[in-house]
Amino acid sequence: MASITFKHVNKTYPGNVTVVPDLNLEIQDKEFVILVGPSGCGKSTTLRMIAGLEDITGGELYIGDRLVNDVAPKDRDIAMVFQNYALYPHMTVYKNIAFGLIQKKVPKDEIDRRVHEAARALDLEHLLNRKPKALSGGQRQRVSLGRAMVRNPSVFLLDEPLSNLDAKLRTAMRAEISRLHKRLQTTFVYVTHDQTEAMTMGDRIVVMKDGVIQQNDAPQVLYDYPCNLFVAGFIGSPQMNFLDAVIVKQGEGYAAQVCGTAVALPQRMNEAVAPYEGKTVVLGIRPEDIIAADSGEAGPGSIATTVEIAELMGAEISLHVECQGNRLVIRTEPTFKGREGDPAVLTFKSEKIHLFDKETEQAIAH
Amino acid sequence: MIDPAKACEVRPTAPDPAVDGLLTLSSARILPLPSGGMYSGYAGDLSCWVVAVMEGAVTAVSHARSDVLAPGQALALWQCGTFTVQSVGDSVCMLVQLGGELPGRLLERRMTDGAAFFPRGGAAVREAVLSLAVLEEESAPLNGTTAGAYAYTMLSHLLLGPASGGEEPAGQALTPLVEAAVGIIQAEFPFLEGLDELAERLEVSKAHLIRTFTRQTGVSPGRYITHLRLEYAKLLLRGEDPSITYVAEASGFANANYFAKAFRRETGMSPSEYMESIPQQDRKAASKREPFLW
Repeated sequence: MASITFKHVNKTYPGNVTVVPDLNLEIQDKEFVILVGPSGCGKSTTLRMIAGLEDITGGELYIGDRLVNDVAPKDRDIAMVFQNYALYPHMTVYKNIAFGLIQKKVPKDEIDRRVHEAARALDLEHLLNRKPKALSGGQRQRVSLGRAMVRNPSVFLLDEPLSNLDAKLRTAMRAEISRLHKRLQTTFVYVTHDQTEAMTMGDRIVVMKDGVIQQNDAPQVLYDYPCNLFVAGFIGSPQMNFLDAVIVKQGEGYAAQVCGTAVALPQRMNEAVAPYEGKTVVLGIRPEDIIAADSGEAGPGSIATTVEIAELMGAEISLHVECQGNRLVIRTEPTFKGREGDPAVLTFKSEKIHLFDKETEQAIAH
Repeated sequence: MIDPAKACEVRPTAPDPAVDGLLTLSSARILPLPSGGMYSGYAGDLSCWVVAVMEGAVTAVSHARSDVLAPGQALALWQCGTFTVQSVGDSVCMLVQLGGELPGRLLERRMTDGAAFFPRGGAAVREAVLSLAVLEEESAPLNGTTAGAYAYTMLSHLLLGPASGGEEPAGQALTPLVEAAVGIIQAEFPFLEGLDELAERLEVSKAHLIRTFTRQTGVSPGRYITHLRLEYAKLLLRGEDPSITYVAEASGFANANYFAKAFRRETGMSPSEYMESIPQQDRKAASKREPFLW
């Protein structure tokens, strides 16, 4: 079993610099968990604590049922894949993959079997006699994966393995790693600062900021129900739009006064929103949840504005508009005719509105 | 006038019994070392050594950790047992030996694996050592209680920052380029193809990299890479039942022959002779520290 459990784990560096104050996290056996967050949020430190490359200042870390605080990295039955590949330049691909097994004195025929099996799975068989210098970035990263695979570890740790690859290769390698996880049925813990990688690859995403877990949930749940402004702004590309709005009573329910109009809020929000009547909150709306019309008048609940930039993406258009000091990004159909300087009428899909407390930044309602 | 690059040692008298056991300064020295030169010490119970680099670069190795110190940096070793300071290129260090409970208590929060690192601690150590050397010259032998006061001041300055108006040692701060180079080398030394690769990653010419790196650290980047590889090799050789070929390759050497030659050039011993010189109880402790994992 290769579950990973953090119990009140903290990490403090000399000089009293605490990067992870109190981490409680459970990763189930065979799960693919992504640790995501901005630089310096503690995600790599957390990964390195699992590996044993960073000492734990306080708390307990378990791999399976085993307390591993003081267990050496090589005795934790884990394998790691690094951003910079960590391949020996003077060894062939074959030897780079086999090296850990040679050190453990695994029989030669077993080494050969495992290397070829991994090379086949990663489409490296034709490259086994090459040295890393003769490989592309994607090929080098696959060699790193192969080296980790042949160890048959209980846990794979991947530290931003795609950061050095170009965008096209990253897309291909994302799928490769997801396939690998399904094939190996092993626990994967993956660190990235890229929310697209996080959303497309994990069973579960752990969003971190300043060493603290902000939210820990399935990708779609994080996307649809972010628990605070940070998660709402971090997950999703283009980023969620944020505007200040005042909550006002409207008939039996409530509306959000924003950009000079009152946008009706769904009835299900009534109870959560009632304490905020008359107060300013943060209204969040994703770019795809704003309907843009290139003609017509702005009716009640709609906003008249002007297109600043129209980015033609092929399958859609990204509109950038300005509305009473707020900059909004809208994803609209490629049939939208308006371009720079043309009018646009915006309507928010009320069932897709998110509201956040302006002071605490916590979610009020979705 | 004390020459801060010339060997010198101060050994104060025993301190007042009222402070003995709390804080004593047993010795302070200026230690020039040639390239590859070594100094070994022992930090037993209630014993603390502070090592600071004035020129060049050194590695300080105890059973639990290995540190590379650049000019202006200092390391305090507390109750770590045997330790070795080895010069990367030609270097000048200052070493202060302290005793008593107080150093451990003061340094406790800063320590990891029996040592506390001070990236700008060189100035505090330099001030203490030179002051003690001057006092000794003027009124030998130096009074132990007075020396203890200087020790306390040094520890305070290490923990709280350099003394205001204190003189900074030459070449203390590394430029961003050299700092980035040191960072890459320290993290990836077994895997680096060579200086061409390093220069390309740093987006500078190889010549500029070598020139700038050498000027600021006192050692060429190639020499530094080799040195770190050899230090890592020593760590692996202290593990349980290592194969020389494995150690050579894992450290980043192309083959065991080249590794053995480089090892003997630096240490004066063959890898096998080095292995045999490690006491059995130190082997297990070393194996916990292998930093590379795949």
